[in-house]
Amino acid sequence: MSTSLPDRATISLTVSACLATVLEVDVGTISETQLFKEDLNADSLHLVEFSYEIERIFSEMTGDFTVNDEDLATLKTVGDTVNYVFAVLHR
Amino acid sequence: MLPIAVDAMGGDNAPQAILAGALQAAELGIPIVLIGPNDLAGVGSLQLIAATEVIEMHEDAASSVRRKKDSTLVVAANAVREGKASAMISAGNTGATMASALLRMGRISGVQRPAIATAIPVPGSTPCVLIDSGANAEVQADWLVQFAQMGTVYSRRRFGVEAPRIGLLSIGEEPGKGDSLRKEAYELLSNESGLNFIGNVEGRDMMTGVVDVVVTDGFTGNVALKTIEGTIKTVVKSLFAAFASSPENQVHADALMPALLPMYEVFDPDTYGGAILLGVNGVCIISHGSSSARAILNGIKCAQEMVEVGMVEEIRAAIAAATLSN
Repeated sequence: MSTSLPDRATISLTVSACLATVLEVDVGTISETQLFKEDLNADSLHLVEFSYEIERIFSEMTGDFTVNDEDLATLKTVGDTVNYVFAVLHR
Repeated sequence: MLPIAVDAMGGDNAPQAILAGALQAAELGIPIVLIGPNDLAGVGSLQLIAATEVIEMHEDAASSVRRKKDSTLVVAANAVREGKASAMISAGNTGATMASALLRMGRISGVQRPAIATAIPVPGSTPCVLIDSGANAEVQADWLVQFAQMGTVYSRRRFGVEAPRIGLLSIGEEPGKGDSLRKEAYELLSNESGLNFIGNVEGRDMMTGVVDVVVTDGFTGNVALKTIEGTIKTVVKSLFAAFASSPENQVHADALMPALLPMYEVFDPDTYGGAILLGVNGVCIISHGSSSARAILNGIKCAQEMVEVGMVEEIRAAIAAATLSN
């Protein structure tokens, strides 16, 4: 297990790929400015799956990564999530 | 066949009833792997995968699955995902069981929402499949079409109904009956090839043999299911009270018992062993919280049967075919 921290670009690619898998869409259609609900039609179940996968993937990459339940509710866009993951990993 | 992962700690009667059911299944030659604490007593010769945590009945489904990664439920679902088990069964927290299966096994590609299918007893006939009986409180009309497709596969593979009759649960048989969701779903189901859609059905039809798969949202389905269970329980209790009300009645009851007991078995939820979560990449049996050893045994048998007939693969094929044709 690697403990080196991913840079922002890697986090962005990983988050987009994860979301594309959950929503069953092409990763090329996802951009950081998109809103989960309004632009990507993600519903609550998608977001549960997405947050679970984000935790799993970044925990495997870094050894430990948790999305706080309260913080989860504040993430509205793909970019919010990328920034959140970056901030948690690099704090 | 890979073993069936049994959550040893799930349910009101765990671990004793779960272990007893699992041991009975093993005696029948069904491979079992228990999921529970390392020091679990009474395991006998059964294989055990250690899990240090338990998700309690009252805990929130999604967050408990995310936080308790070494819980029996999550470890059981992981065992299926990682190819250590062929199926999972739990009598524990229903929401957490669904969440574990969904998050660890994953959804079948194209499935919008997994749904719970429950066998409703029909005297003298094959059981009726009620789907969704509790997974999705709010649904969209097109999800109901997928529930019908998955319910069709389940009815066929579990109960041998070649062309299951699909009914949409509503408040009247006419197409115009029901709310906007039911009316939209009626249209979609009518236009969907490959389904034997017979139209709207009412709650009273579920136990009469006129329909094989009843499709509805999880809220309505759960209310219907609990109403049936409660009614049966009350009727049986009243009957036994009437039998015991006088020595003369008891004598008559004793004479009737050989005819009544098989009927009781048809109505007993333990006979079916639990519901099944359809739409995930694995067999997941959700047993009643109050499951007895017999219920667990029958749930394990159901899991084995669903693995052996390749039900998940068949649902995957059915959903893929329906997606292609639309």
